Amino acid sequence: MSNPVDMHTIMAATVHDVKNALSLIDNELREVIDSITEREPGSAMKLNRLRLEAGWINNDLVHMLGLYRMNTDIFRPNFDEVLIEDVIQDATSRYQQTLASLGINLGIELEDPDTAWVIDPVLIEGVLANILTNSIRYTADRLDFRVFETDVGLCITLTDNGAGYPDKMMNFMSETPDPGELSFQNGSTGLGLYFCQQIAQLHRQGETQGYIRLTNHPEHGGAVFMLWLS
Amino acid sequence: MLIDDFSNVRKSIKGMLNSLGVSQVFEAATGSEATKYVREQRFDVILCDYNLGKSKNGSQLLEEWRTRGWLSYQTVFVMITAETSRDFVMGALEFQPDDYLAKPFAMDTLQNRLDRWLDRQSALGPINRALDKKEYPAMAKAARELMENKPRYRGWAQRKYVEALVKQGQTTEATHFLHALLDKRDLPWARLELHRIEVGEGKLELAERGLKTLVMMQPNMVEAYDLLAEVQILIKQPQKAQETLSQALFRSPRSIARQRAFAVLASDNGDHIAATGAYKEIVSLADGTMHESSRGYKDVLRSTRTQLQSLDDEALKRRLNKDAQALLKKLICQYPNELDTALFSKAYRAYLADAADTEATDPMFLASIAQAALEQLGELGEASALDIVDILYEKGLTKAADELVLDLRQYHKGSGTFVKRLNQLQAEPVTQEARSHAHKTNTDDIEQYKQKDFEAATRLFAEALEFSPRHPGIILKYVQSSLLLMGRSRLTVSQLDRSLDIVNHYQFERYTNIRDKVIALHTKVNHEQSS
Repeated sequence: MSNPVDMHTIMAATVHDVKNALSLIDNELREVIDSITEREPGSAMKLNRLRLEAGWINNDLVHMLGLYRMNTDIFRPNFDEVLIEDVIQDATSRYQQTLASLGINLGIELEDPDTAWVIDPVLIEGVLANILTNSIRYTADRLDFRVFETDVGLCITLTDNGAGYPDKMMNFMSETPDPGELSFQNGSTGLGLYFCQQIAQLHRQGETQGYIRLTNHPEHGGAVFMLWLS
Repeated sequence: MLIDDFSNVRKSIKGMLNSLGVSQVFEAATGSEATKYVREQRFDVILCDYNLGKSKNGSQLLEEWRTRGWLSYQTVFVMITAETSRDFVMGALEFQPDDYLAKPFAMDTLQNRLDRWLDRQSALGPINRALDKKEYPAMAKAARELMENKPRYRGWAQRKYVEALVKQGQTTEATHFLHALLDKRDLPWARLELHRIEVGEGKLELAERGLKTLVMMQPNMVEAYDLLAEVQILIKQPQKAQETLSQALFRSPRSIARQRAFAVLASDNGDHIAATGAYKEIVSLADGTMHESSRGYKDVLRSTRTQLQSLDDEALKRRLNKDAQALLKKLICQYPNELDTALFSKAYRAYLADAADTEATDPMFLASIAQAALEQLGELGEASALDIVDILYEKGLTKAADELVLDLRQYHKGSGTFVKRLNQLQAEPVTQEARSHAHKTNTDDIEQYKQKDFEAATRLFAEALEFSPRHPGIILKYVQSSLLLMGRSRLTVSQLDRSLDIVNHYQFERYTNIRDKVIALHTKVNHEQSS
């Protein structure tokens, strides 16, 4: 391949194919799980782990496509005013079965259920799905989405009751404004966070722009992911 | 109603819907089947797969139903797409569905969405009922009520409110309302509507500035590019308008209206390659849709002919000619019963004919077309009439062409622009011969010019200009030799004025644009090399 742009495009097309195939596999798995859950709960549990792995691969593919688009300057958001509740529901709906089988309770609490915000709903749904896959892996048995509005903007948090983020990760987020290096240190988790940060930053209003924060819960120590949108 | 070309997919989705308590489900496998249903009754929800096999695709269906007013606004139209094709296929469409659904989807997703659609649609019911009946004051009232009573759907209500105001011509109120919204939050749709109103009120510079900012911030909003191009045409910047539309087409190439606007602009700008390309795109997009007509083929052929006239490259000319011949065959084959098309295609057959086609190269053949046109003036469209006249002149049948022009002028005396074009063709028959004559005179001139006989050269260049009035080379040489003549004080003021007038060529702006781009690139390359 003499032309590197061609190579990128071929890779992007391949990623798309893999992503479509993955989504078919995921769907088939879901149907199989539905039909065997009662008879063989153990196997269903294993298959649900597989679905979660498929979710991880899917997130990685989304990141690869994102890199491709940033690289070729076609990474362009589509802003629209949407109901935040709808976006969270769309992000969580494909995980319902997995959550149930792993015994994880998911709570969604909106301070105002009618909250609407100007965002790119597809990108934000991707951020939330990404964080959700991560949290499912590390939580004990609870996940909670909370949405509230302040003077500075809208905040969506996802709190789990696992062991929390390691110090290294939280420090990294707060001390280095350039998260590019993150991807090399922490593998795909870092790349995922890098994208979340990029997408948050696309959401600006006047002088302010969105961002993400990682903290641990002051009481039970679980991980708290915060997405601030302006 | 469920629209999908695979019966097993329909069966599986219908199964889900039934178990969710939806009892009445209509199924359609093709666009035409769906169209029949949609014209007969009003559906609560339509689930339509984007890809319908050989039939029209989902967005073409939606476009046809919306433009023809067959789809009630009370119906929720949902487009089903493969998960990853959404941004590639759907990202920027003018007729947006009410929602998308990525396939394959699970039952809980469908349930979730159904609840959402039906709740929203019942809240918006009074507004959409008024919109269906085109009762805009009632629509505005209903939208106001929804804004006050249901904060959840305030965003939807605001858009519908502005739409209702604009439909009633209450632009001042709409402007106030939009400004109040934008003071609180930046909303791309509100900006677009504001600029649309500005364009309507003739505030073109304001709109141009605003739209440029909008496409920078919201680069996928194709409607903003369309409106910006409209403004640029109005403020006489056709080159910029073409550039703007080409950016919109890059993002959303599947709109026939946009391709056509681009082709017309490119053609006016003398960019015949781009124009022919866009016209070809229209023919392939229109295939099987409401837009399919002989017009698309005619546009491509017309544009190719213009392109052929300005080409010197014989090999390229032969290739274009061959393409055009193939297209002409299709046109004749697909529209055998249109009289206009019959006359048009005969004229083009004569124009494109090579020596082997003895029937079409016979002057009698062209004369018979002129005669047939005279007898069927009422059936002959204006565009085809101009083509036939032009071809007759170009092939040297001046007398037949003059006769036809006379009758056409009489028949269409109400249509000013058409008569003007006819007069132009008659006054300036730019035939192939005239062009080669101009070329020869031009070559003779260069000899005189080289021998510093500027007086003779100027006279000969002026003669060449008679035959080829817009040839940039001849214009420049005429002006140069005139100016050199002036150096010897043998030039009149009127000659000087003429020099200034014709050197202001219609391609000048294009030249400066290209030059600016080259300079910018030059600086960039230098900068990159030095750093």
